[in-house]
Formats: sequence, structure tokens, C-alpha cells
Amino acid sequence: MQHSNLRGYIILLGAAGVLGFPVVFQSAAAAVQPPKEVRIDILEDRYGPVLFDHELHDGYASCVECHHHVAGAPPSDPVCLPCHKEGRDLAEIGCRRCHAVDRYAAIDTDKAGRTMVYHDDTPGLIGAYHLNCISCHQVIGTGPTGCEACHEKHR
Amino acid sequence: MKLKMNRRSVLKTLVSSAVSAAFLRPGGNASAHDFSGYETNRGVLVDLSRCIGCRSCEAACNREQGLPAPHIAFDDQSVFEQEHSRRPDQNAYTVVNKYDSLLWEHPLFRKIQCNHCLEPACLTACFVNAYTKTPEGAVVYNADVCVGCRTCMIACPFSIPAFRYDSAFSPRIMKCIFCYDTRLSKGRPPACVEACPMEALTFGNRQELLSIARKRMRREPHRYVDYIYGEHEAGGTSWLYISPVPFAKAGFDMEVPKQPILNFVKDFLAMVPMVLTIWPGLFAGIFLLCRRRGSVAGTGESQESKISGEIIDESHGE
Repeated sequence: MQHSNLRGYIILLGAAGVLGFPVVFQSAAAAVQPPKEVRIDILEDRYGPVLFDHELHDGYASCVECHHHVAGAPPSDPVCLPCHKEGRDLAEIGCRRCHAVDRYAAIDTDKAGRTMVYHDDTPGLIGAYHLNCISCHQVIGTGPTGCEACHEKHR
Repeated sequence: MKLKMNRRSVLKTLVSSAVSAAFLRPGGNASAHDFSGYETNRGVLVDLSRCIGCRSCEAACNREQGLPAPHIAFDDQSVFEQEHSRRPDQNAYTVVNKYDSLLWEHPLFRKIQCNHCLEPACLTACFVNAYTKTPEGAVVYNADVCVGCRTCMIACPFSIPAFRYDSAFSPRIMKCIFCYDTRLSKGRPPACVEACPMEALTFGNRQELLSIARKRMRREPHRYVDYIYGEHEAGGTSWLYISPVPFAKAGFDMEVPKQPILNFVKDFLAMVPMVLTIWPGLFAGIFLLCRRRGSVAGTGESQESKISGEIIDESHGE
């Protein structure tokens, strides 16, 4: 346990060092226009790609609903606020930066920060998509909640 | 006469002390065998508020375990309307049932499979040791030694083990084995967990899962009832459940005892060796003693009459 904690912190420190550079150029990063459409195709062997209309969702939700505390604004979840009061504006704000593609692989277990006090229950990438998309669609009463509305079956 | 009474009282004391020693020590015996699970016990946390009833877990289980094709395809949601309360059987180690509840914003779905108890009733009921509780937490079954008595099916408080009745030549118990052979023993989560798109299933060390469950409850108290099903049920299970509605409303059996099923028979079972070893000797001894006493008493009587006869004779002689 001690060992994995230590390893987590070392990785975190390393990541902080690497990520320090993009933060310097955050003004340049902010100037980058958000994509109109995001193609999510990690399950392309099973289903057709999911075409996420980023522009459409811009009108429905604020950036922090999905990008939490990395899109340059305070997060919407009050639980996150004590640590992430102001939010950071990172150059790389894609979901898989924090949400592991394979949440049980050793390398992704460290990446998701499962050894940390508050980030020990971070969903994996697939879980993060479904939890956020479907939950929101259910609450606002619009948008797909069934499987095949997003995942086209291969014929 | 005095000597005979002494021996009897000594025997009496011995027997009564032996019997009382055998009967009056259940507490000490039970506590010596208390077992709260392996430290390495893995488990799965099921979050009912997340499940959307996609049945991906059922499909993944079917593929992983090489089970027969289902009657109703896994992507067919009509199964929830056709069959309300399905149970795991010989063709499916896990099933998902739907529960409509007015207490929650969307229908609830509950996945059923073996809960992999910390102290499994099936294992303790099996007299040929066909079941094994692995240090990883799985309760696995060995068909090679099973005699097909089906006691485990009766012992299980969750009615999980099923029997392959329709196979005349290879009948066996069919139940979830936590994907032990193919995944758990290699440190990987079971197939159902990996397939769950909503991460309604979370795999991990049981102790960590309990703390994650509590953290979710503390963080979103409106989202969960304050109870973890499986923390204490049947002495604790590897699979744990948290729910937005009272568990009885989602088909959970709240009558399951909060201690291992074994505890109910432990005292009785501890007596069995005593009955088999001490009782035959004890009762044979009592029987022999009674017979001897009878015969000794008989000879004593005749001697007494002889003596009195002699006295009479002597008196006659006088």
C-alpha cells in the first residue's frame, strides 16, 4: 500500500512537471476553438462511431459540466470546490486525460489517481461518458438514453 | 456396602462432569472459529442507481463462461416485461430484473448472481468439499467430486446454485464462479464488470469497496438509502449493493440472517463427534454397570439369606 502511494505521487509529480509547459501557453490554448463535432470510436470494433455534437451541447450545458475543473472555470460540483476553487485552464482537456481507457489496468489505475484521498472512485472513460451523458439526458428529459440511439450496430 | 456406594458416586461425578463439559461450552467454541474473510477478498460494488438494464453483463457472462444461447436475445429489453422475476439457472449465471419504483426517477434494475459469501453456506453444507473459497474471494465448485446431493442449493440463503437437470450424463451444479479460472486468479475483474458501460459494477478489494460505497452515500445522501446490502448479510458477502430505494423494494431478501449460516448449526455440529464417540461408550458403561449391580445385588441377597439361614440353623442348633 505504502509503495503504491509513493508510486502514485511520483507519477503525479512527473505529470505535473510535464503539464507545466502547456499551462504556460494557456492563453494560446484558450484561443483554440472548441471542436464542432467529436468522434468517439474506442468501441469501433463493436459499434459504429459515436458522433458527439460538441457545438449543440455548448448551448445545453456549461463547459464545466463535462470538463470539471480543467476548462478554466470553477467546477459545478460543490464537492470539488474546496481543492479546485478556481479551476485550471489546461491545453489538454480531453476526457481520457483523467478517465482511464482500461480502468483496471495497473497503469491506468495510477493515472486515474485511485490511490488519492478524493479521486479514488474516478470512473473509467466508458463509465464517464455513459454516466455523464445518460444521467444528464434523463434529468433534462431530452437526448438519447437508449443504447442504439448512440451506438449503431454493425450490420 | 460402603465401598459400592463410593464407586457409584465416583462414576456419577465423572459422567455428569463429562456431559456438562460437552454441553456447556458452545460460546467458547464458536468464537474460536470466527472468520471475517480473507484480507485479499476481492468484491464488486453494485450501484443500483446507475444500472440502466442494458444486459451487457448477462451477455458478457454468457460469452465468458460458454453458456448456451439465451431464449430472448441479450439486446431485447422485452425480457423485463415477459419475465418479471428471473433467477440464475443452468443457462445463465447472472440475470437482471427490472423494478418500477415511484421513489426513484427511473426504473431500477437489479443484477443477481452468486454473492460469494465470506463464509459460504454452500461450502459448509457440502460433505464432499466440492466448494472452495479462494483467497481472492471466489466461491468455486469442483464438479469432479460432486455427488449431486444438491444440499448446497438448499443451504444457499440467496438461492443461487442451480442444477443441470437436463443433462443425463454430466449433471452438475451451475453457478457464478467470479470468472475465477479466466480472470480473477490473474487479477482481472470478472467479465460482467468489464462490460458494464455505466460502471454500475465496481471491482476491487472488499474493504476498499465498502469505503467507496460510504463515500458515495456521504457525497450524495439523496441518491442512496443508508445501507450496504452484503456488508453483514449471511456474515458478509463479496458482492455489495447500494440502492436509491429501500432494498426490499428492489427485490432483496431482507430476512437473510446477519451472521454466517454456519453459526446456526455450529453448536449442533460440534456435538456430533461427541454423540458418535462418547455416547456409545457411556451408555454401554451404564448398561454394564446396571447389569453388574443387578447381579452383585442378586448374589448379595442370596448370601444374606444364606447367612440368616445359618443363623437360623445355629439358633435351631441351640
